[in-house]
Amino acid sequence: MSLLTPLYVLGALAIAGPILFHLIRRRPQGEVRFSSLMFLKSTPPTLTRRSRLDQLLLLALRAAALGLLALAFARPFFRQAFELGFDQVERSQVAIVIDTSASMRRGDLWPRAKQLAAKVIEEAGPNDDIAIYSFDHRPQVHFSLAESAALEPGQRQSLAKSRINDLEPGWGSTVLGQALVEVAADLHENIASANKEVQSAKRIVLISDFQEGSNTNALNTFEWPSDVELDVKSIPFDSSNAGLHLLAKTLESGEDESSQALRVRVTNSRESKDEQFRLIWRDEDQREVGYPTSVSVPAGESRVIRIKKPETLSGAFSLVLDGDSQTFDNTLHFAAETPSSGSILYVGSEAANDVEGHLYYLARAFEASSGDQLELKASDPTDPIAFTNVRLTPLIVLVAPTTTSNHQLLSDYLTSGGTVLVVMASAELGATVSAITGDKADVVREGEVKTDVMLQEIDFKHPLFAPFAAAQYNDFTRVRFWRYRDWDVSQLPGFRVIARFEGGDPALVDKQIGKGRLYVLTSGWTPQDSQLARSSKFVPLLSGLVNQRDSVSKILGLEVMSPILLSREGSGRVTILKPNGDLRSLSSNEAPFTETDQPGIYRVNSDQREQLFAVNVHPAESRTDPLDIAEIEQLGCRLIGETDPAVVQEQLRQMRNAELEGRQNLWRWLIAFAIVVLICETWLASRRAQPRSLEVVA
Amino acid sequence: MKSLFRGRPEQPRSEGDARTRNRHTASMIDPQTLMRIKSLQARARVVVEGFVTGIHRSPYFGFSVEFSEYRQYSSGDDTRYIDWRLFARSDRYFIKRFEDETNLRCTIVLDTSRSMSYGSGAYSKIEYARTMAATLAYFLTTQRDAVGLITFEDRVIDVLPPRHRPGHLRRMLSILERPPEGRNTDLIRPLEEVALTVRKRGLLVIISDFLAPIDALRSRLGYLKSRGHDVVVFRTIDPVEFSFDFQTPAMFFDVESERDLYIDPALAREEYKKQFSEHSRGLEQACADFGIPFSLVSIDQPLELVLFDFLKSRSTPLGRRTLVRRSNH
Repeated sequence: MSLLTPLYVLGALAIAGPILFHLIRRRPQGEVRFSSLMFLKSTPPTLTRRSRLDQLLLLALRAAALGLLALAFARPFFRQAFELGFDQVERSQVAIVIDTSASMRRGDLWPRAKQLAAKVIEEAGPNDDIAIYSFDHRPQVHFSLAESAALEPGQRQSLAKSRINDLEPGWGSTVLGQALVEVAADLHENIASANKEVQSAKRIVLISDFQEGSNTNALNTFEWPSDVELDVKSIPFDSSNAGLHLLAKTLESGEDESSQALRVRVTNSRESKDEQFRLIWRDEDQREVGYPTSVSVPAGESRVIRIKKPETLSGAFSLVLDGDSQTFDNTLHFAAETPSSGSILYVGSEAANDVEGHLYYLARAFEASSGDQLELKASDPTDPIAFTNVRLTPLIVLVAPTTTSNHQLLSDYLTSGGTVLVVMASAELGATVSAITGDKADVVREGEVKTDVMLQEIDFKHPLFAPFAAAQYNDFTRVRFWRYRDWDVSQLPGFRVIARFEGGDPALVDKQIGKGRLYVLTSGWTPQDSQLARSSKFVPLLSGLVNQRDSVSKILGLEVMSPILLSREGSGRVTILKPNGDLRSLSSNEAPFTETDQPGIYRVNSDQREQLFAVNVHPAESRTDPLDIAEIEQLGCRLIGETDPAVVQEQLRQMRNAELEGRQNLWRWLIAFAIVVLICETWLASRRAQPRSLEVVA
Repeated sequence: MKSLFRGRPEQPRSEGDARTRNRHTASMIDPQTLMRIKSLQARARVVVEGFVTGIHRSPYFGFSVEFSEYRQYSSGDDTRYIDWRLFARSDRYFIKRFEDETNLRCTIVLDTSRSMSYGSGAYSKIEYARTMAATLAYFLTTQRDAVGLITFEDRVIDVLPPRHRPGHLRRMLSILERPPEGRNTDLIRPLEEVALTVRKRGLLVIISDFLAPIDALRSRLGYLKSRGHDVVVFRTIDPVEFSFDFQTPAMFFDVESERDLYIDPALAREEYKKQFSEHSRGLEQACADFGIPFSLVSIDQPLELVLFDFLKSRSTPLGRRTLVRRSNH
């Protein structure tokens, strides 16, 4: 017989208690009054030979009860073999979470991480479920628990290993918290086996370089499941690293925007051995351009450097930090902004300084939108409309009826991909629209307005109104219209109402014509017609019309794995050439492009026009100083401490013993027997108890 | 009746004493019977009358409190004090000398503390002491002496100055019948207070169990004596206090200090007896040193014997007074 908790046997020493009490003369319950105790001293209780002979049976019962209790607490069991069914064997669930962020590209970190993962897989029991997760900016499942459970025990490890081998480090940032939260939740919710009596240990093995730049925010609001333990496998590595990052572009006083000075930050880790670096401009073919800039950044500090781009650089180029041994975050890619150069054609007869006319406001609207190098050209309606091609004239604004020849020109312009905005300043323009679109002429009359009307039923999904979709921008109630033209487009094919006036009359409609798009505003923005020109929505709306054709809405400040919204006009197919040469095409309109999974220059081709955007490594990845593991523990994760093999062996032995003991449950019988003995003892003691009296011989 | 002292067989001082005592004890009243009489005055009367009846048959006839001595007449003596009856019998002139009859002021000092409330038998030491005080007061009153009473516990409780007037005895008895409050004993402080209270020289009869440290007792008794008082000491002791005849180990509760002690009498008895004897010896020696008559009274002893001892202590000339005792010292 073996004992699970042998120290409890020491409790049997309590048997000495009853023996001692049997030997000690009983302390009398009664009390004797006496005049004075000044001549007396207390007598210690003494052992008497007579009392030892008393109540031997009672003594034996009491000793037996104590002995049985001590033995029961010691949890005895017999060592014998048990046949366990497959589902009765304890099966743990091990989720291996491996860091594939950009910082794992340093040195031999990645091969060591894979080796560590393989070792963890080998150490897992054959019956254990294994899951493989990787994470950078978000976790990914490569081998799920369900998949593992469906496999034969022998196949799990080999498949898990092959999945590990397929993994490669990415360029993303380290969002450690979110990964842990999702994996822990997966483990917690997963039911190990049908047999619920079998304990199932759930363990996350986290393999990472634990860099300081890891984002653990998600753990702040997460309650770590009590049944999931986190085993942290940190890969120690020389954290010497310097990083280069672009800062937001700000104009300082006295600085001209055209100076093209860029602000970059050079960071250096605390453990860094290097202090002297050089910033080198390289063109698209990696040729060095201009002169290098020397930068001295002491270890643990960072410096912001204003650096001027060489005039000769355009298109795609890069700034490289030279002097750092870890190169993964040393290159800053740039794609030069390509301003929407060209002109906007105004077709109307209003004077440029006529505050009652449309042109006056149109000119100011495009002045206000900086960044676009657009020129506003006014053209008389009777003159032929002059545009070289669609790219150079992205928008034509028509505010007055024009000639029939111009109708055809506009139609051609639209078909080739242009955008025409017809401002229906008067009812006669209805015929012009019909002429351009080739539809049946419809009657346009003045709308009935009592005092004023507002816009309603605005289609915020339309690219034109999409920037206003957010709650803080979608208030159009301050834009009042005094006059509008009532034009029923319901019978006209292809027209879509983007916004309506109160009462349901269309305010803004559009129609796809060829590759281009025709917009018709049934009112105007002159003070006689509406407050539109004076509202804050005016400029963004007009800019939206122009930018409809820009494939890249944001070209700077992109980090790896940031989604980018590529808005496209028409059904034009957009192809994206990734830095590694992969070609991706986006067919569905307005879907954000999310495969910005590597730093470099992305080339977006649409409509025979190429746009570039640059993607860089997340700045947090450069913070390679080691993260204090205690911080993870402080966030509530249940960490498994470092284990000594001997301790593990001992724990295993204890677990086996506990398993055997749990099956035999001898202690229950012992407790039951002890209770029976105690009942006998109580009965016997009550039978033998006799009232004692104190006898005083006076 | 049980033997007087179980542990210590009584040894009479002389053969004559023993004969007298035996004859007396035979006709005396058993204290147990006496204590059944509820009225303290009745008890006193029973004792005194029995004693007086017996005294006529006793060789101690003629003892009187007030009588002092005869002295042969010499010239210059006041002829008023010549005992003419004696002259008639003896044809010699004798001057009859008296203790100052009207000035015999006896104050009974009674200990009513908690330790006195102990009694192994049907009555306690305090019951016996009260009867003893009442008997003495009754006897002295019948002798036309002034009797006073002081009771004390940890301090003096009642003070009744010595008087001889109608109703005085009744007042005294009513004080004696009052149940004691049962506070701690502090023999030392009350004896000092007694010395300050009783300013006029007189007879002080102290009835107590004297369960207090000997040194303090010795100094206070000496103090009383030094103030010119005649002091007579009666120590009332329960027979069990002599013998410690308990059989079973038990928790002993000290009625005096309310302490508990676990005591196995079989083990503690010898030590107790030794200590008790030493204490008794010390007290007797102190009394002997100051010429104070000391009577050790077991409370199962007939009260007449106490009266006998008292009178005997008074009969002895001052300079030759010896310790009246029943022990075999």
